Amino acid sequence: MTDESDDSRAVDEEITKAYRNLATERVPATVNESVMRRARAVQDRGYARLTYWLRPLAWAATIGLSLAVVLQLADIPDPESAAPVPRPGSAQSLPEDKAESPPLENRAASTARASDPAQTREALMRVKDSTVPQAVPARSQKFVASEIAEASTCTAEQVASPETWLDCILALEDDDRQEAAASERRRLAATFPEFQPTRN
Amino acid sequence: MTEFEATAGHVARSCGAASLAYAGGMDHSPDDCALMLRYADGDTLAFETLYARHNDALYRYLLRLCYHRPTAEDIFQETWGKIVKARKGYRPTARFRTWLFRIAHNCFIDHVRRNGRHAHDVELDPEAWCSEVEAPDVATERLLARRRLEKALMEIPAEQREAFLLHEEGGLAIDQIATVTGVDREAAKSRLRYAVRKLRVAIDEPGNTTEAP
Repeated sequence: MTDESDDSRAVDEEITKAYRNLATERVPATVNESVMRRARAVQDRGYARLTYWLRPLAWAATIGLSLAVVLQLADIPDPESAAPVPRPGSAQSLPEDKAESPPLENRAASTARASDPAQTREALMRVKDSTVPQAVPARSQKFVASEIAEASTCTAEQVASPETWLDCILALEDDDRQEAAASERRRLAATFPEFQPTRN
Repeated sequence: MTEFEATAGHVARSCGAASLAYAGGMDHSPDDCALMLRYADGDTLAFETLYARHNDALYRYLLRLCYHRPTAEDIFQETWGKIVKARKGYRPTARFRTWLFRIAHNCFIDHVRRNGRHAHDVELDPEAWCSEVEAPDVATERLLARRRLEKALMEIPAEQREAFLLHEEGGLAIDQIATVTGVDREAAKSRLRYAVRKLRVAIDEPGNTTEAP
């Protein structure tokens, strides 16, 4: 309050008005520009300090990411070598199939036991149609043959081609080993689905 | 009044809207302290606003303090340079305008110490402000009044002139004038009174500006 009254008494309005009429100078544009340029430059310098590290950082990040992608690509297996790798446990896949469908196999076996070899073959083919849904790809036939040879009564040479395999089956039937013969027929049908047994 | 209220009042006076004596119609929001803090945070536009608000007043203050245009411009730029440099450490403990004029005052003192007594060779031309629409006799009378005031301002002691300029251009109260000039309140008050008295004499009685102490 004291300040305000002091101020109001200190300068009268007429002096103030006269001075305001007198003092109308403005800052020259060049000086304004100079000050503003300086004010902006200081801020830009701070930003420049940040951007000084921004470019090398961006390069490092790009190189790092590229390396990571390349290494990741190197880890992806080749499609050719991505074919099913033989596993020790998979050799028993067919017997597992057998275990999964005991009623059909039993039916086929009983049919084989009860009738002559021709009927047996027809019965077995029907069994094949119903129990072996998928054809084995051609490129894995060799592998499957050796696998089957390990688990079957017929030798590897016999299961190498469908004709010799059928001969083996017929020999088993002749020896009255119907169960083994039926099993071999199923395997034959599974391994060579396009093969039509013509010999009796 | 509690201590808290007193503190709050001080802060409001310090950082509130600038109470310029002759700045009617000026928009004061956001206040100077907020603008300065925003500039410290990297907002250049805040500085532009702040600068536009105070540049002309500071320039006129320095112009009539030095009465030498190039020197006034140098000190003006030096002052704003110091404001820019001090932005990071700025704390709104005082009114921005008081701080600004204190820096300008210190720059002026430094300049005088470095260069000795500064030259008074300003070419402020009162005739340049004559209005073309005024009648010749009115224009002449106004021109003469301006000349007398300008002459009186040049002739009064620099301390008194500075007190007057801080009051008129800075809109500073006597306490703030004392803060800026580094003297006690009574000294600032008497300087201002002597300055006004001499200017009054100069306006009322042409040619007589040296009778007061």
